[in-house]
Amino acid sequence: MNKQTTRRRFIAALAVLAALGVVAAVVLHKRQALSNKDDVEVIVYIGNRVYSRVGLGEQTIVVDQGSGAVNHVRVLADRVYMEHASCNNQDCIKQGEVSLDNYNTRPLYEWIVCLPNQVSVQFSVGGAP
Amino acid sequence: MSAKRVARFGMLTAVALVLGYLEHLVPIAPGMPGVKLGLGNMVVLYALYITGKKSATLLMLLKVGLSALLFGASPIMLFISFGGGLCSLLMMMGARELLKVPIVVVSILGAVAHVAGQLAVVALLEITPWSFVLGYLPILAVSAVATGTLTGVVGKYLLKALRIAAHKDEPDDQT
Repeated sequence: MNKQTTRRRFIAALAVLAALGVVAAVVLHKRQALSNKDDVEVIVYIGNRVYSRVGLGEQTIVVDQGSGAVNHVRVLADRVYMEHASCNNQDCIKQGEVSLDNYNTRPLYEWIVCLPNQVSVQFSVGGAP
Repeated sequence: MSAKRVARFGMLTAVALVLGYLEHLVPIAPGMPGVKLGLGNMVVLYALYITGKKSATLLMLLKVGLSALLFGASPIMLFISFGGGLCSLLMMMGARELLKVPIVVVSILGAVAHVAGQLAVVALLEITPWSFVLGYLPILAVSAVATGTLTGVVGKYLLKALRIAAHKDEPDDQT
């Protein structure tokens, strides 16, 4: 086996180890599930700025930025989801709902994000940032 | 620039646009921003190896701009795509010329740089809170490693087959 082949295999092995390390970090990065819904706050952001903070309970938060960017965030007793969005890709709708059962296992964890409209919804548990 | 090179560049642009549209039609992770196969980026990778840096740069710019125009992306999404494309291209150039690693590693590094660039734009333009960006980065990085490996492996065999077919064309950057 020549040096170049050895070097390439070493680099490939490093890349695989790095990938495994990242996967492990993601899998191990879990917060303890809470069953008490009083510790939950739904925070709606426009960009980096807090637009609204509410507890769980049936209501719809309307984010109308006046430039055609409109989002409707539906908050229920045990979950939150994006009910309507004016964006093209509708990714925020496809992200589904966040609830006490899935907020730490979803791919986006406690977040629902509408990038085109710059609206983010955080299902904040226990005052987590 | 010869007519042959103009035609080849036009075809590469068209292929990149079509592949970008196809991966939009068949999402691998519906709803997850930034997680995609990166088929269009495979064309940029190919261009970097076959037609040269200048052509690859122009191809990346056209791919980002024309995709936004054709598929109705918002200005925010255009900036995000541009940031990702630029970081990816610079990383691939550096990896190829300075690190001299194999094409598969170039592709992986390019994919990871792509998602890092996208998230950097999201953070700098304050599109979302920082806590989302930091939490989402590892997830995007994992998906980038996977898709970068796939496009790198395909790119490797594609280059081999096309170089044999074209008898190793000289880069477009050299007249």
